[in-house]
Amino acid sequence: MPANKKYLSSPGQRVLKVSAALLGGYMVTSGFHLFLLLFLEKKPLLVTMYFSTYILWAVLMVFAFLAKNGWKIWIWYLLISLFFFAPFLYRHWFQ
Amino acid sequence: MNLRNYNIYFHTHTISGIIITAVLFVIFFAGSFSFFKNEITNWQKNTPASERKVNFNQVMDSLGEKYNLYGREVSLYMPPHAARINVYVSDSKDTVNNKEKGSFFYLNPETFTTQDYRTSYDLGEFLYRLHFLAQIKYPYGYYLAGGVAFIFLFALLTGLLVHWQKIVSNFYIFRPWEKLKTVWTDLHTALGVISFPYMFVFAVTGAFFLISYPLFTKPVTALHFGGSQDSLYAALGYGGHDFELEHKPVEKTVSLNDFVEKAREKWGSDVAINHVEAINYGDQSMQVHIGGLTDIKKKFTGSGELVFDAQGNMLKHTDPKKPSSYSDVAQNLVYTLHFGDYGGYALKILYFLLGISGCVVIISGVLIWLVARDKKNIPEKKRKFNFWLANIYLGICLSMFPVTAATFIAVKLNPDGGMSFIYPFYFYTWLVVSILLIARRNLYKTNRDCMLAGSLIGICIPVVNGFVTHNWIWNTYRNGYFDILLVDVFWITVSVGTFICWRLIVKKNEKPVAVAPSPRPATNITAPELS
Repeated sequence: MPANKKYLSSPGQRVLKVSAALLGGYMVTSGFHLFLLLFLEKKPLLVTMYFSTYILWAVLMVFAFLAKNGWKIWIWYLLISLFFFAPFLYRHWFQ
Repeated sequence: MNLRNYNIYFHTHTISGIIITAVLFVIFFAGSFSFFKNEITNWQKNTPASERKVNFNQVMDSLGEKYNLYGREVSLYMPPHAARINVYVSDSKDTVNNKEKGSFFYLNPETFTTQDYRTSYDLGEFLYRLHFLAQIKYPYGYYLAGGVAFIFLFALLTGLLVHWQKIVSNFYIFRPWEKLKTVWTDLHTALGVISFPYMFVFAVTGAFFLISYPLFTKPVTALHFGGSQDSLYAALGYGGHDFELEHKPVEKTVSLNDFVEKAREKWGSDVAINHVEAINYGDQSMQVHIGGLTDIKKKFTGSGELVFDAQGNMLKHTDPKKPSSYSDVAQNLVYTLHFGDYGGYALKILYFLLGISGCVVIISGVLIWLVARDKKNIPEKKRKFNFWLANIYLGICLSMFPVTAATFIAVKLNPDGGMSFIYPFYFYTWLVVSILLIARRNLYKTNRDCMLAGSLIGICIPVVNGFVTHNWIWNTYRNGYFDILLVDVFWITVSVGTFICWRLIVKKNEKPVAVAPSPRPATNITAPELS
């Protein structure tokens, strides 16, 4: 009983979703933790990252595949990453 | 459940699982043996672990005969359940007068003989390294294994989501008398769900060990620690090994025994001292770091450290018995949970069984995937490819069992062959057996013969050990060499278990399945029937 084809994506959408899952998920995950490190105490968070990073990333992968449209999920992941990386980009360009 | 979501979970679970199958099997199989790494080492070298009484001054004297230790970092690490000490001697910071390169080697604390890494390489080390593919050029092997661990985490999540709704009802379903595909499905689901928490821990911690550095450590260092890895390690409480040499030798000879004695007084006898390090040895700036672990029965994760200066003043003290903070626990937990060293042999055996059930989940997954696609409406070409892939996967994976068993015998007959013996023996045997099995193109026979061969070779292992070393199981039992006994009894149990499996496999194949007869018996999948 392979999965029913009618629920699966076209090849183009598939590329978008796989890349959003792996790359976009990674960007959001690392951005999220780097962002939190700006505000929270470093050691406990660094230690939490030992496992929270992979779990969050894997969950984001599932979300990417559940998305109806590969473009949309990419845009979402990019926007969220941009938000998390904004302080660093600001520091890089304006300071 | 939402049908669309269900199908997506199902499909992503299938594809991610199929991609990582072979590598993941190798990781699980070799990893399961790695819980007994030190026992396998002791078994091979016939050096039963005993109460280790180390005279650190004598050790340093013997090292001093090999090296001018001045200005070096000398690290002595005493692994649990092992007879030897792991010694690391660094290059000296006095680069003018003391130029000889440092090295890593093992030292016997009773005879003071040393052995370098390559020649003392043993099967325990080999299987341990194989489980993160360290034999592939660094860092590619690590990254491949770490990447597979992460994809495995994804497969675990989607697998759980697929079974979520029926998780309770399916838990009680096991129909070993039905046709094989049903057996595989039940096995895959039941064992997968039971061992889910275990596999989840291993997927996460495995990814952490292998791919954290490029993925997360580097960006964190760059954006939060000004690119300095030392300050990151300092924030995590590691390091403190890098400070200047004063170039002023101490007057009297250093006595490490005195430092260790002080640590013992401070911590009491229930803390095992597991490492002693002297940094900038013999200089005024020397520091001695002593690490200890609390008895696991008293405290789950308790590690402590004492730092002394050359005069014996205490610079830093982390008490192993103090209540642990969240960070301490989490930091230790990733290691403790992965190595399974928090509960004695019973726990390790349980871990081993769970690891092997992981192997069963992987193989049954491939077989479900194959049989589900072995239908008339699937194009001939695809079915050929599917069989081709499953055939290769099973050949590579299942042959690991007899090959590993044969290597146990080989290293018993040649215990000091080192890396240059184990590498070619294991890898060439594995290659030849896999090619033969793949060429035969019969999944049933691959499975049947690997079980039988592994079982027959396995039962010889304690016998060969008895002949070679006279440490027959009754002798090791009487003398209390429990690590050697463990390996022998382990192989007897495994061999008997797999022999029963082999009998059942053969019986099941001979008996036609009464329920739901299919035009082709699914039990005997061979390539020709696809053409």
